[in-house]
Amino acid sequence: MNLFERIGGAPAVDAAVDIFYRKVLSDERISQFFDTVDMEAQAAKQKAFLTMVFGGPNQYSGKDLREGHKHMALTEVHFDAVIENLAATLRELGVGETEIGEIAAIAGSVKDDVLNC
Amino acid sequence: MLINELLLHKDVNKNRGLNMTLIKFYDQMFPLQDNETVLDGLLRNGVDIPHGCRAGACQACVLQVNEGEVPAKAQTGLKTTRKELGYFLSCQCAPTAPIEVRFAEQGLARATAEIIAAEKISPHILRLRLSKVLDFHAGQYLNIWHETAEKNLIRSYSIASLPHENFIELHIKIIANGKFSQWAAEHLREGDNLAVQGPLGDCFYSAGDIHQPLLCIGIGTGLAPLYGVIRDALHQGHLGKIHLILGARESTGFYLRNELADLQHTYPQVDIHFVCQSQDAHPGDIGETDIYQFVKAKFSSTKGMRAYLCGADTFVHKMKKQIFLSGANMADIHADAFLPCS
Repeated sequence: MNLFERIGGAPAVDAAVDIFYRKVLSDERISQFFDTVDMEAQAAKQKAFLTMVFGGPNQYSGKDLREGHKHMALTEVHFDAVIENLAATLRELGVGETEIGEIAAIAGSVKDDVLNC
Repeated sequence: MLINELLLHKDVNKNRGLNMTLIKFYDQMFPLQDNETVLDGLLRNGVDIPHGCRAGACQACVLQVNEGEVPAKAQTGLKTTRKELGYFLSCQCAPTAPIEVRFAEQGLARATAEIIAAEKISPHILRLRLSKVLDFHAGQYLNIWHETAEKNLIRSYSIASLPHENFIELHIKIIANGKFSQWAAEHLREGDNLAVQGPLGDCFYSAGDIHQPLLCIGIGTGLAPLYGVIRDALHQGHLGKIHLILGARESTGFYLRNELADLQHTYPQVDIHFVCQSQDAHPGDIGETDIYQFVKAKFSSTKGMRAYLCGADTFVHKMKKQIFLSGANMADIHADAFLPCS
């Protein structure tokens, strides 16, 4: 079984998105990036992000990630905050440390694109 | 009718030894390949459908079904109300029988409604009752068209009545210098005709867990959809607690006080609170506080609750965030945000 199947596929994404979104909205380091008027649209973006880092089918490309984040002037602090919130979300859902490591690695693999390095 | 047409095509195909599923999209028909999704089939045939993740996550490719069944998988993650309206994710939909689909929210019904009653029920609220010329869920909204020599004025109003009441009730806030509401208050009379279009929106009650606590919060004429939603919930046998919190700047902003008192008296599960900011003289049952603080203090956790938030858009967005952060699931938060008009 691949990672996406092991952690429970699309239902796992559904379970994670509210918890994750609540965490980032409450995190003063990064809440300003997520505090948009249209919460549904923001939640949809986060679903797409979680689907990607859970190893699910997605159409994110490095170019998309660069384009989407380049106006935000993001730094390592912001990126690390997202990873922390992601890991905390997964622990809350009872995901094993092995899987959390794999997910963090996928998220880490897009770091340069997100930070526009 | 259309499905028969589609089935006929399927039979023809079967006779040819093919087993294809057909989809009808407006006036065109396309055969799907084995296990092909509606999204892929339409894209392959040159139809431009917006799409994103193709994983059932981003919901960019949502379409609406006119006739036929979509697999449950294609509605995974959609709000119950959207499911009931036939929304589905085209990237997750590989139908096994013919279906007819369209872009979401297209094909709005238009109709001419007769005004059954026009009455000012408070200094600032005009209540219109229209003949029931279209089907709706209480809490949805419709557009009213007012055609003038210079331009058309189109305004959206939420529906406070229930379908079986056989009329459409709207609460129109009479705004100083409001082009539409001033015209409506001065000119609309019983027996007049109005062009209406709709219904729209997914802020309505749908049965699910009848014991789930409902948290209904509104300001101003946000009461209109909430009055519809709450009575619809009761009509459908909702047993869980139904909290209604209404906010206004001044105590004169509240209306339907008697009707709400009756509702609370008749149904023990209904609990109503009035919250107003100003210190004007007002009856003793109106609390004097900020509505956000009031909700925060009364509902420190909204986990497991279903929320309906109606009123000015700034209020709705702020309250939505508050309700979400205090624990409610995003899918359980329904909102009807009123947008300002020029």
